Amino acid sequence: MRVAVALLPTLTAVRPLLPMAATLLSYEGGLRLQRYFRGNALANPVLIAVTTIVAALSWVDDPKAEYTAGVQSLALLLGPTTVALALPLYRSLPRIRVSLVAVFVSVAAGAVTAAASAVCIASLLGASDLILRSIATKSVTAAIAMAVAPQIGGDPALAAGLAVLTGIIGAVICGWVLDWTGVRDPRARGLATGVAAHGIGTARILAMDAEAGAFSGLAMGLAGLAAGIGLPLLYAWFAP
Amino acid sequence: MLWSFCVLLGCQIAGAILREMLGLPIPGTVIGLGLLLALLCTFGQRDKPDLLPAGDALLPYLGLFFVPPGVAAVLQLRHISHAYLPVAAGILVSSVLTLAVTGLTAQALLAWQERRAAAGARVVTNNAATGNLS
Repeated sequence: MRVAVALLPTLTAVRPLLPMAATLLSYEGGLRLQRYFRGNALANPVLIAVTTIVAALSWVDDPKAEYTAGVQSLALLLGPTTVALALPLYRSLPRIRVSLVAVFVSVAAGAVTAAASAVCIASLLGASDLILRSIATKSVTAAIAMAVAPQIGGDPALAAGLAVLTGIIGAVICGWVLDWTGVRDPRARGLATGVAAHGIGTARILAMDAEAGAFSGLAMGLAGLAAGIGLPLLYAWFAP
Repeated sequence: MLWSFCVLLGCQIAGAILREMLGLPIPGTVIGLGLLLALLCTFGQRDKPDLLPAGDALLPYLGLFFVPPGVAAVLQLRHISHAYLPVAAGILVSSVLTLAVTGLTAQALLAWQERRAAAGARVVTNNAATGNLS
């Protein structure tokens, strides 16, 4: 007991470092679990790290402020890394160039399915108007969802939350669904994952297959573009 | 290494500036991705292994960088706990449908395009089936 009291000032001093340590440790733990379970989809490092940290934060008074401040430097690296997705894209460009028709048609079909089916299902189950407008962007990367949501009457923070949730769910189920529907072509698997689960799905599939990752990054960008331009236009036409 | 990191940051910054100037609904990072791709197409050598070392160093950690926004998102979702079922069902079913529609469409079209390319090339050369046309 006396030791714990003596340690208290030290604990206060290191407290700002804990979010970063917890994030790196839980993600590394997730990676090891993934390796241990031979790539089982449920052992997804993003899913494991997020759930661990959210559970740990339930002991904190203002979880969002304290955590966000502690991992700011890590969050800053997401931008340059997203830009770096141009690299696998560039390396696969010769293979992409000969399959442009397949890329554009399948991404368009997927982007429409993603927005329409989510809104229809949530609407049938009685979700509120604000949720419906925020779930329309669920399959595009959170930054695009935040930019588009206000333009179609949704809430940017809620849209970002739903987008991240969709990314995590998509990264977990993509392997099963694509195996089950018989999609074996790595390029098609990449396109499907990029449209359905944007960056989080791309991170997952890039770790397994560089070419599938390149197609996933491409699909994520195109689907984001389609949602960013298409949804506000649709809203302008059909707005009540 | 540092130089290539500066290139990544430069593209991101240029993307953000373009976004502000043109009022685009797409985030600066995605515009930056497009800019870097254009740069690579102009100046890059595809076979060079250390083309952009910082990019190759960062990309394996893409998932890690999604953890902070992931935590913020899950904390945010506490506000809609009353609509848990429609949201969860909507996301799950829609994700399955999107994966299946995109994957099957892409796979069918890719196979069709390859068959067509092979048929077209057979007229010119017997080497068509190998796919080493370009």
